[in-house]
Amino acid sequence: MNDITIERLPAERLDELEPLWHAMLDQVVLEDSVVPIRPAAESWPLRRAVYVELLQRPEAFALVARRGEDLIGYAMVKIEDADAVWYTGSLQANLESLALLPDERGKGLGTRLLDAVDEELAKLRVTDLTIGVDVNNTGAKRFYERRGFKGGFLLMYGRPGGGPWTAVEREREAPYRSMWLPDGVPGADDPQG
Amino acid sequence: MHFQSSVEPDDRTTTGVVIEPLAAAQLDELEPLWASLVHHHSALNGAVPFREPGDSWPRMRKLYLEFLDDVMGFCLVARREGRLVAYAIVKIKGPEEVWRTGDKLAELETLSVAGDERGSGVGTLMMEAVERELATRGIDDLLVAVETSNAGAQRFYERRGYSHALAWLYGKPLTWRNEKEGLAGDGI
Repeated sequence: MNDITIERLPAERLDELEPLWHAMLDQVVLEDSVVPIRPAAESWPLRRAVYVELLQRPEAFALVARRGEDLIGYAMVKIEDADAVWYTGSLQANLESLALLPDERGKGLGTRLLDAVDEELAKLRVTDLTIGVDVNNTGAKRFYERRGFKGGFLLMYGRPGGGPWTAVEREREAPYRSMWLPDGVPGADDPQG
Repeated sequence: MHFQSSVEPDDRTTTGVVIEPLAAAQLDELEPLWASLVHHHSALNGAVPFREPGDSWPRMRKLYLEFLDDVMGFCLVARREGRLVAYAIVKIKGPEEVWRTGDKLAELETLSVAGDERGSGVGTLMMEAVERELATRGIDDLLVAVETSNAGAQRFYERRGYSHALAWLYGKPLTWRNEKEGLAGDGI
């Protein structure tokens, strides 16, 4: 882990994150997401637009982890005004994404990145952080709970009025294909982070 | 920020209940029902403390106004003999970047039912009205945020076909900074 550096990524270099975003989508599929997910090529432009918008706020930041020149992980942090409902400070943070390359999981890189996020939040005096985790991703949930996170709310998904979910119908028409995994289809036998 | 409902239907009568849209200019009528919802949630003793209603209402009102222009969202209210007994506020956004939703999706921002009307079927009536409105608008995906400690509301939405998809966790990393020193990363 000593050959790894963590630094801020300027907004104009956002495109460097695309391969890592794809790797994260694979992980979401591997962890058995309740709602079927978009193909990476469709997802990244939407995600990128969200990042561009959130990074317009000067306190928001992206941290990247590199081994040598190679990008191996990133954390994206959104900063918002005080929460309307919960007691928070005058600013609150949301961990929008934490993405690691498949080979880099299980080695403490997530902890390194999260520690670096905490350092940045300390400088900003932001004391509240929220994180959305897929319900079935028990590994990630445990990871955050060990860092002190607690259940706030659950996001439920469905089709108003009943009937098959849009996401399931779309997945049936054109199944998700990975850009990383050799056969393009994430399966239960793949290593999980 | 999302807020969530506190309703459990039974077969009490909903005769005489009228559901209608509420214009943004009438938003202040909702404040008592907002306060009722906050009190209901505070009593559930979830992990994250709630602001007092007097503190949260002006903030929620501001949020509501950002999308209550009838394009980005809508508000429906239920009245029993003229008295406001429930409201639902829906935000329209999208598309979702990860989940494979339609190009537009809806999020139920708030569904609040007056304390003495919980279990009366008014919540179900409101949800049916919300779902009809979404069908009219051609929106096929709905997200609902429910407090982790609010098991009753979770059951209510599950019965209507919605499933838990995401857990929204909350933490105070700076406050827990020292405690964390003793915790090893579990290698995510």
